[in-house]
Amino acid sequence: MKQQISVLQYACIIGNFIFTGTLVLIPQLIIEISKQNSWIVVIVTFLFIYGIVYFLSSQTDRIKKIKGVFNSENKSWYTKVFLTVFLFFMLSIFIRDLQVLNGFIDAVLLPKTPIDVIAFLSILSLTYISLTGIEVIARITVIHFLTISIIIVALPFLLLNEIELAYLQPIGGINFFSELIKSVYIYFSWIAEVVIFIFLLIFIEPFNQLRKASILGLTCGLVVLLILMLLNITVLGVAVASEATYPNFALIQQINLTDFLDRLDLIIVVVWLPTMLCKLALLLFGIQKLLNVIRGKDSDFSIIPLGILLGLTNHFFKNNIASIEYSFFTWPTLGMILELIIILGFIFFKYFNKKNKGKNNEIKA
Amino acid sequence: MLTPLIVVTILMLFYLKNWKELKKDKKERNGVLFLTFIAIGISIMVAFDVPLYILMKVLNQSLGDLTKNVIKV
Repeated sequence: MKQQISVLQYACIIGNFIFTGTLVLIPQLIIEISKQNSWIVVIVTFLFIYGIVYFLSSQTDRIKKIKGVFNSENKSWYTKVFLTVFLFFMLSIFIRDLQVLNGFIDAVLLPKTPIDVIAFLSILSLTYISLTGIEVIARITVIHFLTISIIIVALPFLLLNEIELAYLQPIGGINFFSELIKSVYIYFSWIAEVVIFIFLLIFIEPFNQLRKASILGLTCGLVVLLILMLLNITVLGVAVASEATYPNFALIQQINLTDFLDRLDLIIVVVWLPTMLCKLALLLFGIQKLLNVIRGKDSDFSIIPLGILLGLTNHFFKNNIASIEYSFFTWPTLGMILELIIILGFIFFKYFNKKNKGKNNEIKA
Repeated sequence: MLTPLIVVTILMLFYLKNWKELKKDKKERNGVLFLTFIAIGISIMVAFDVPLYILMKVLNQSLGDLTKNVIKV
């Protein structure tokens, strides 16, 4: 049976995809480089990404033929190369985010529980969600993303007594442009993860609203990330935010409404965790589908051994510091290379490739 | 030995439940067995403290250092 997602679900998946992983670690490095101007980095990076997405999602009649790329029929070598790069892109994000999630739980929430146990419990939950298909993943994502978005929009009111607008000054500065370019270099690959929409476009219905849905998803991501970045600077200050490993967690710990509501941070973390699981479940689903397309076999059986295998990838990092270094320094370059290849591949299939024309059947999800 | 124990237990339950379906389709069975052997192999390597982090270390020292040079951290 063909699975479909609506425009709202598609937008929420895109918004959730770029927001939930980015908020954990990367604000620290951005604030360390760009200091009080970090909020401008978010806007500038999003402007770049808006341009890319606007260009890529134009001419939906041409994009329709790209659906054939994700079909498990006989494929040309360049289609296989494109799919392999896409698979590697999804694998890299999955390995990074699973480690970020497990590292956070291990460091903050359950320090005495072995990380292997945390990893396997996470992976079993992910496998269960992924087995249900894209429609269920989309529904869960909508619920959790809307909940966390409402909480983030409410955060400025919850932190009203802690906000110091003076921390935003001076705007600009001597090294403003060089710091901005450096930060955009780091931030770009995180937000350009939005290229996942190329995989998702085989499920969206109505298809002609692809551009609207992509822009809506990006805007949701921009709003929540901008609010968080502004709050990081105005509540924690540059000095604290650039030293904290998890600045957004330190931020929500500052909520101090009354004497008895002083552990709201745990409630917010409990709301954030499912959004991360939704992103990982989507990635696991995507990895399995792409493996099926590459090997020309459509089946769900391999998802459990695949999930177990991916659960073991937390041993690819020596410790939490190695995973943070990977997120901070390796991913910006690796991600940018992979994302640029995917974007170029997409442009090739959209404008130059005639072979997939007419083969626009969706993969059986 | 916690890791191989968890891996083998989960995979054993998976095979007990799905073996009949897997027997029917040779291509599917081979794919699943391939992933299973890799998973068990990695879990055994983890149990014997084989440094699996070499790959990420290489990436961190190549692409990571490239980024550090770009942003001068």
